[in-house]
Amino acid sequence: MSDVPKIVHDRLRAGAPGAAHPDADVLTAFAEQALSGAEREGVVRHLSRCADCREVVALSIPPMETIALPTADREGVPAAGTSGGGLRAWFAWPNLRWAAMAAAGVVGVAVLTFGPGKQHQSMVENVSQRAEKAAPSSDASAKPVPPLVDQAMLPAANPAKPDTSLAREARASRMIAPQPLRAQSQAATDSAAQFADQKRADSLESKGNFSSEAKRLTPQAPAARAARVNGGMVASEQPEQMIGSSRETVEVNGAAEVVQSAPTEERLTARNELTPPIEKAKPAAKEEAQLKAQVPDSGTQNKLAATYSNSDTAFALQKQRSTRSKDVAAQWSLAQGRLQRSLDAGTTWQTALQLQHPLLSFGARGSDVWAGGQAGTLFHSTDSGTTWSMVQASTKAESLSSDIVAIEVRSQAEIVLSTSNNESWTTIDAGKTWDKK
Amino acid sequence: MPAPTQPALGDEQAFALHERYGAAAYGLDREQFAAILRDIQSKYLPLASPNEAADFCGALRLEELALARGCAAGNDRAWQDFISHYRNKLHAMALHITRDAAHAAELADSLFADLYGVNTRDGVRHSKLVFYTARGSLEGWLRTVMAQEFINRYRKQKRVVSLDEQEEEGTQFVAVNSPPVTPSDVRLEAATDEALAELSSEDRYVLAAYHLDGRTLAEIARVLGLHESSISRRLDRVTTTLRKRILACLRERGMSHAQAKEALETDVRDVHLDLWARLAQDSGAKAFPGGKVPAPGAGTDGTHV
Repeated sequence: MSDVPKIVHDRLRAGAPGAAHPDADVLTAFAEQALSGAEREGVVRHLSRCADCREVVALSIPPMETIALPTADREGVPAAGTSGGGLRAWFAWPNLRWAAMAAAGVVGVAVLTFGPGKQHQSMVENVSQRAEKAAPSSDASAKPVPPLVDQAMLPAANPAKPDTSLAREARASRMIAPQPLRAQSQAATDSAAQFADQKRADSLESKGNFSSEAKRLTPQAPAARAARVNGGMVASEQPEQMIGSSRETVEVNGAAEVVQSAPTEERLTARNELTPPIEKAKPAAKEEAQLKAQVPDSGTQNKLAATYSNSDTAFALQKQRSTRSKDVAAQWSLAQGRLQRSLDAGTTWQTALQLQHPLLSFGARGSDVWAGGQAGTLFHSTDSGTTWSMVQASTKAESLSSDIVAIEVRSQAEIVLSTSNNESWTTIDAGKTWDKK
Repeated sequence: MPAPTQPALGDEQAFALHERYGAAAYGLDREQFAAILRDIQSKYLPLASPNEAADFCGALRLEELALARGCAAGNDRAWQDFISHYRNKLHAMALHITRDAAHAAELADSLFADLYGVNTRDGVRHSKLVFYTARGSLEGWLRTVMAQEFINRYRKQKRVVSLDEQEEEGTQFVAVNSPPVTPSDVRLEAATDEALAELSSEDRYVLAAYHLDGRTLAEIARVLGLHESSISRRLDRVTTTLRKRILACLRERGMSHAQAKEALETDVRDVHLDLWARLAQDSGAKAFPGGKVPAPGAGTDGTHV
């Protein structure tokens, strides 16, 4: 930054403020960007000549670190405002400019990744995955109680391409057709709209982020649909609450094998070896198959619906467990006075908390994280570092003012701080009251 | 006798705001609240039309105003709400301002006492919250008031220097401040004033905050609600423009371009004189060639006798 001559410093300092000092309300409104044009101009004019008021305004700006999560991508880009004008500042053009560039980049990557050719390719890959997955199911069809295959996992095939039996099963199960063989005939002449819907669902599924378990857990998703593969007969059963009318049965004769072409099968099998995402879905699919296998084949529709409900509950619990395990999996470390967090077992790290002075210690238990620094600085997050609140440890007699060198999180409510002067501060109510030893 | 003027803010509007923002919960009746609103409106917008007054009052932080005035009036519920919302925040604000826990506690407690109103006049307790007019948030107002209080305290303490400290530092008396150095050419001063007067208020603020107060670009940007890079560009532009304008003003006052440039650039306070190098240069031949001091008892060529 180029410097100005000393005479400019002197003359700037010599300029006396013309009018009286603005009161605290006006300075507050100015700092919060709440003044209108003319009034704001008057305050700026005063501030340009009054060092005292400039000092007051500078001190009355709230601190940066108590606003929100200082994540890694926001690191080094200070917010232009916090309380009143914070939102407006975030949506100011300089920030939107970068957001627009980032959005353009995302769109470009999306187009390259999910272009028409690649989308079809991912669809074929999914079909191949289902084909391999269904192979043991077909083998198991000889058993008295055949395993169930979740139709929600089965994508539709491109009508223009040679169809596979599983793809046809999938489409057949989606068709609410009371007449036998209707699904088979409908599958060949599927409407463009249905194909587009399925294509979109398949593209989501093929990303891997949208797992089949999550899809099954969604109440609106066709999770309750299931097809029994039994000696070439495919039956689709739907609970009443899903379709509102009655149980629909679709039977597809063993003609499925007729349309399967050998080259396609080879190609699909070859691709299947390179597609690991389906492996992630296997345990859940097995669990669901076990749950559903417990249902007697001759069970009533109510029993079936109850089993589906139970299976949904089981998967919901599993999802909760996985969410909880994500929180537990967060790893923390202190690097150069910054508290850093890793959500992928230490592969990548993000700055979760950074203050003007370096942090000295931290303690974490589940989603509860405490970070301590110099002069009694103490921050607490209850959501794995997403938001932070400043905590002042103090008793009736005194406040904690020495450096916090160690934090022991014994439970969610019981925290023990060790300071540089060998004090021990304890709270048993998550920081509301403290006891000094 | 002049006819009584009609208040800009009508009763109906004031009563509607009273009901809408729940001022009654803090013990303020409709007339009290209307009077408060009219006071604030007449203070900041004395010549407003009824519509302007209604818009102005509608833009105020009326919920927080009701809380503050309820506290000032001694309403218990208002104080409960105030303490639950702002007590801890006061300590955090004080810590942010003072950067020291002990001073922070003292500052926060002092402000809390002022807010409660420990000073009584004619048997009536006077709370500082009476001065809150809801132009900005109550939290922001508390922060500003605390910053003012901190600066006032700092100034008071700065004037007081303990004798013990003076003795420890070896100071027996305070030296008289030397008079400011006056520029050699008054034309330079006038030209600088003229160039500064042509700057916009915001440009002058940026210049003063950066060069006089030592604020960072980020701090200035947050005050003005702009991005840091905008402040950086503006500062560069203002500095360049200012220099050019001062040179132009000096030329208008009869200086040639070279003279103006010399007058601006060779201000005596801008000269960085390396006295050590100058003294070494003027001392002629080195007393000890090679930078080595001969040991006692050694000859001129460094050999022992």
